[in-house]
Amino acid sequence: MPLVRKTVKTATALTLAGMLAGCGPLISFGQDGPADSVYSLEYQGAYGSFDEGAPTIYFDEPIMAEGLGGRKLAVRLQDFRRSTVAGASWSSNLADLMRGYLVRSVANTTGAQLIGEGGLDVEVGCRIATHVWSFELVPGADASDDIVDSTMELTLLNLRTGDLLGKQTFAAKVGVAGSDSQAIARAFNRAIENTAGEISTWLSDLQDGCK
Amino acid sequence: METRASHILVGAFVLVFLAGIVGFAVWIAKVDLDAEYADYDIYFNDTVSGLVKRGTVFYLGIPVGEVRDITLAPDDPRKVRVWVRLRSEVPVNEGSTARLEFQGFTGVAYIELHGGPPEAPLLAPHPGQERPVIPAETSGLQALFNSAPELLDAAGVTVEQIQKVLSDDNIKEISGIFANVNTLTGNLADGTQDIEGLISDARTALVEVAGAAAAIQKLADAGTGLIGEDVKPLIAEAVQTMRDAQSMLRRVDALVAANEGAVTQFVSGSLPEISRMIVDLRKTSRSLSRLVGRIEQNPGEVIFGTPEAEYNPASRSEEGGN
Repeated sequence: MPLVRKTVKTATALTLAGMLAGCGPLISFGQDGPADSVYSLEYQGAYGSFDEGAPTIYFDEPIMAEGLGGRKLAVRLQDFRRSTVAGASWSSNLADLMRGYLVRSVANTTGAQLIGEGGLDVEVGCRIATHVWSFELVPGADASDDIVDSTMELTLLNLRTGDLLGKQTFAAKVGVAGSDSQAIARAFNRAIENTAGEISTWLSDLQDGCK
Repeated sequence: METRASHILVGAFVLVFLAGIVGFAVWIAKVDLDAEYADYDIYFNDTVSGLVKRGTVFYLGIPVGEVRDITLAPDDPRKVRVWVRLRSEVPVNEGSTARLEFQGFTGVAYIELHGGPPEAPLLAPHPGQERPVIPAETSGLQALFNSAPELLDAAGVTVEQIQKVLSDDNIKEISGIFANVNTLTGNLADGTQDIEGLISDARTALVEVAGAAAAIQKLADAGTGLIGEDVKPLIAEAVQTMRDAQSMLRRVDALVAANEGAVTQFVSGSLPEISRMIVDLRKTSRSLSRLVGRIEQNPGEVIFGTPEAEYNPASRSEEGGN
């Protein structure tokens, strides 16, 4: 009897499993599809060095305009439509990538001590707040007209006095040399490179107010 | 033949003539044969230049004797002993003094005596003294003569100092000071009208102050009544509140003192971190708010995502999506 009962239970379970498998997937987690190409914003210069007398500035996490955050490469289409580049994504959240790039680049060119992620407990003289209004691919009429548009607004605030030392918007437009995602990623890197250069020039004139 | 009578006449005449000469001499010398004298010694500690033997001795300006001899003191060569002879009726008693005086700056020296108190006994020689000794005093003129060399030296030094002060440079400086004083007094005279204006303004201000004081006095009087009636309870409550606050501050102060190191570390290190953390929390709060809103509208979208068309750069068009 016990052997018969065990055999019946096993057969019933296998039948139910077979019926379930035959009904197809009840819960879908989306299509797998081909894997995305992953890109990054990489600063090609040297790493910053420590200078005790340099002004210390906290570089706050950029506030991304709607649609620019996340890991997808943003696209601005006509008629106020937005999209993302198919088959391509950033290696990390775009805000983190931009912050890391700007901290390294601006610190290396201005000599200031820029504190990014992980420097919360450092007493600093100023804080830079960044609002990224655009950092996206703008397709043109044809491939040669495609550009990457970058627009950032930076605010320099003295934390000791509460004085607003400076506020400026930096814009850059870089053409996309190609029609694949790799060319688009290169254009994004050149766009942030140009913007970082302008930010360094601007900050060099103001950083003494942060000592 | 010789006459005896002529010899007697001649002898008598000679005797009368000699007696007449003696009487004439006594009359001429005013010799007082009946006078009695007393001798005294006077010891001077300084020079007696100008005093001579037979010099006159005065008692309060009255000639009462003469100087008999002037010698050095036998036992002290620094002193001069003057032996004087005075008429016996002169009251030289204990307390009498003698001074060397002069008749003018260049006159003859003489001795002036001053009597002692009337009740004092007459001066008598002490044991070992040949004659009574009248104590000597230094006269004012003698003191002046004694100090004259020092005075002249001091005067010379003074004149030298004055010459230094009145040098050409200092005279120029003093002339400049006088010029400045002249300018200052001129300016002061010119500014008199301004000063009068200031005084007038000050007088007006004082009148206003007096008025204000009266008003304040009225206010104080009114306030006194107010305090007496209504404010006293409020003040009592305020005092109690202040005491409570003071007690609390003491506890807070003790707490801070006990944790000074930790407080310092908190203020210098943790506060900036907290301010940045607040910024991050605001950001997280906004994200959570949006997420909750999306969950409320369409929970499945949160889990499975929204089907969106993606831009294909190769085909330059959007693909996928609904």
